[in-house]
Amino acid sequence: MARMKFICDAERCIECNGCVTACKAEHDVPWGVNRRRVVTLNDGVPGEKSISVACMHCSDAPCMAVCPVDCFYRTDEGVVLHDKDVCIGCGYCSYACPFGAPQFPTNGTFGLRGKMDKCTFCAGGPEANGSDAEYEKYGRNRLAEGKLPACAEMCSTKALLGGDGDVVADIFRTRVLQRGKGSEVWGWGTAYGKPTGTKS
Amino acid sequence: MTLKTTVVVTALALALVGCAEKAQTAQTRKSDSKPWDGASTTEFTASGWKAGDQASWEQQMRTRAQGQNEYSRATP
Amino acid sequence: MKKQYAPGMMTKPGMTVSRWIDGVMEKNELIDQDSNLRGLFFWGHAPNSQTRGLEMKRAMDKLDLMVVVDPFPSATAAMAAMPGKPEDQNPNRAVYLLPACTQFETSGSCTASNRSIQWREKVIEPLWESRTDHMIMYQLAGKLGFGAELVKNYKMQQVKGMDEPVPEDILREINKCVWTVGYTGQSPERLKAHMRNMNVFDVKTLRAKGGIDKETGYQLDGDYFGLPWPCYGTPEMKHPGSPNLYDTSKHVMEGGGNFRANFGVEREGVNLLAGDGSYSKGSDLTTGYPEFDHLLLKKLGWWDELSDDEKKAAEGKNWKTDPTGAIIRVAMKNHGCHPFGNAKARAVVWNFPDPIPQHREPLYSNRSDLVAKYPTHDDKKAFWRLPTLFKSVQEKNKDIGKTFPLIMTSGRLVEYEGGGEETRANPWLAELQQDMFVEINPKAANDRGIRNGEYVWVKTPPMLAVPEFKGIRVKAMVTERVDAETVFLPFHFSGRWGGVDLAPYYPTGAVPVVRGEAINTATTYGYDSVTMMQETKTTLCQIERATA
Repeated sequence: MARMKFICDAERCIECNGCVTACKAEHDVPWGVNRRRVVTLNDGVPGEKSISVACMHCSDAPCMAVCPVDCFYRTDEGVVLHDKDVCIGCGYCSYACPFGAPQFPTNGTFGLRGKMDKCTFCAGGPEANGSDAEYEKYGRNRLAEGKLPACAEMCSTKALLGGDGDVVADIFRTRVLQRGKGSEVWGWGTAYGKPTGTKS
Repeated sequence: MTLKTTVVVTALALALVGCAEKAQTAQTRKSDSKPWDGASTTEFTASGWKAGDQASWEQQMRTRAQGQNEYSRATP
Repeated sequence: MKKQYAPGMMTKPGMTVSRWIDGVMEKNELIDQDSNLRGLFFWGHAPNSQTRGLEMKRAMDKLDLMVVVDPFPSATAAMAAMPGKPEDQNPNRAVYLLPACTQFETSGSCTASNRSIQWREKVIEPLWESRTDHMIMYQLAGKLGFGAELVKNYKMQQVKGMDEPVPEDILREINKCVWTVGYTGQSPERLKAHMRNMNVFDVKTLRAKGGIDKETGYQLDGDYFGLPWPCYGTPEMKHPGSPNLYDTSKHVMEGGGNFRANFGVEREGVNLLAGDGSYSKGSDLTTGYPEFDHLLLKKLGWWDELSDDEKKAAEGKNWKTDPTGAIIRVAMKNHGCHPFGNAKARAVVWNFPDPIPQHREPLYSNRSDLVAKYPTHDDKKAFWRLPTLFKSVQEKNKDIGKTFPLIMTSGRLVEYEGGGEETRANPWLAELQQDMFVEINPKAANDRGIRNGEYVWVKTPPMLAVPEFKGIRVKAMVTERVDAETVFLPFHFSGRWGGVDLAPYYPTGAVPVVRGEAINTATTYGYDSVTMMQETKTTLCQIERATA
């Protein structure tokens, strides 16, 4: 099995925030904690592009490398998870992550950072699969239910793909072959079929 | 630990509890179960694979990922 | 049923929802009904999606009765409860909030904007005291004396100890009689089979490739998902639905069609029916033809294709009034013809005020030269029971662009829906759009000393008459999304009024997470000359930085 991966096809992302809402709903993520965000470049100008960003579950995760209490671990499928009971909320992983994935709840006394929270690839955490304790700390464990991350499964345009890296790369490659090259030509023809040759 | 340290640590722990923060007791990571072991939430578990069977779960992951590929369900 | 109506009112076109406030406020002698509008049901509808909110508040205060039927109290409750002008307050006004069920607490059919219909299942029992819309309608009809007539074709089921019409039977009643737009083929059984077998439908064409429903044995092959209306004839005829309208490249029984003969067969010596050679694929008639009725069938020699029983029922009828659907069946299935005829589409709509669309400047325009060159329509004395002004408003305001130079348009956001009370009460959606805002171009912002994220006052012409109302107070989003003379505001917000938070006026525990000014508090008079659609897309405003 290849490692689990996300790809967000920026040609198709329409900034609907369906992925963000799916994640929030699935894991009951509190206000202020953004496991997933949609980033828009050149907003309001022709050539505007959006892309959905969450933890990338890096092969050589910087968060894991810098954690002073070693609360991170990587599953056999490459999903990067952590143990909130060990986490001391120091925020070092947040400095290290190039994607801004580690999130910290803002409640608690004196604005102290709580335990780090981030995208789990819907794989829960080091509690029994599907248990209440796992849900409370990490959210739903969809992988153990034979499902894929809620964000990718809910994406309205299938811009956000998630799952076995080989399969995801294959789907993306099929798309690129179908629609040809050209991020400078934009429109329905580019995202879903062959470009017509004229700008839409 | 000296008496002084014990007092300080206890006081800090009590202060933590007082402000509704959980006391930091864990020192090492708990070990995690594999996803193919399945989840206790059987009523929400997808059908088509067998819990406990790694190969069956991996095949389920591959099959389910094809749900994101409309070329498998559309005329070209 | 006739006795339920005041004399002459039963078949008279009513007031449109866009003008209800004028039904309340207009001089009685100018409205085309006996009394002014005195009672109102807001049934799954938000007031902040209607224009002229300042006047709407006054109309709300004058009503005798207002009933809000909604899962969420909506802006209506807060607007009704907040203080208004003392002289408008009707001391006898009664306001009721009836909690209605959401779509999860009932089953039923639902039509999407691509014309496909889906069947939705009940997920949970109605919460607290909420009742389904159809139960509330039945109970209201009962109080008004015609409950039995309303549900005479329905089986009833017990929900929380009360009678409720079975949703399948409601759809079946529609199937029995809405021949004209083709809402007759989509039986609950066919729709449910579609829902159980979504995987057999091609995702690009929406057509089923084979498939046999395990539960009923229904064969799905050829159906378009959700049987998009028009889906003609009885469910037994198995019309597949119409994916695209007027598509002559397909047989009518494959979802194809031609243009309808709705406007007569001839006008001013010109034949309105389709020319020879223009017809849907496989049609037995290769020329234009009128709508199908018993006479046409007899003339064509196809009348005997009806059974004896069908002949009895269809005698003297046309395809729209034949209760058996047999005329449709013979025309479509047996001969590939469209029951509504085969005519030319018309580009000149001779019964409209503008047979060909003309540019007419909006009533509120900052271009007095264009107002002079492209004036609007003349005022109408009575249009759907109300005087409707055009030219007089435009004349009065032709120089208003000097005071209100920015073109103001309103529209939608992804995160919210409609009046917004339901979606702004959802914390995950509310987090994505936390503030009501105005999109303003950098040039327009810099000319006014406005920085991104600062609060501004948006003022519009109706506020000139209400000097104590300072404007709507919103955040400025400085962006290139709009050009230098246009501003955009979303219409989903409510719960703030002229800078004041209306949270105290919502029922306890029902305050939405996010509240904001409603743009429709500020919008202006203006209505379409044919549909009476309100003008939400173009009016004028001025914006200034808020110092307080």
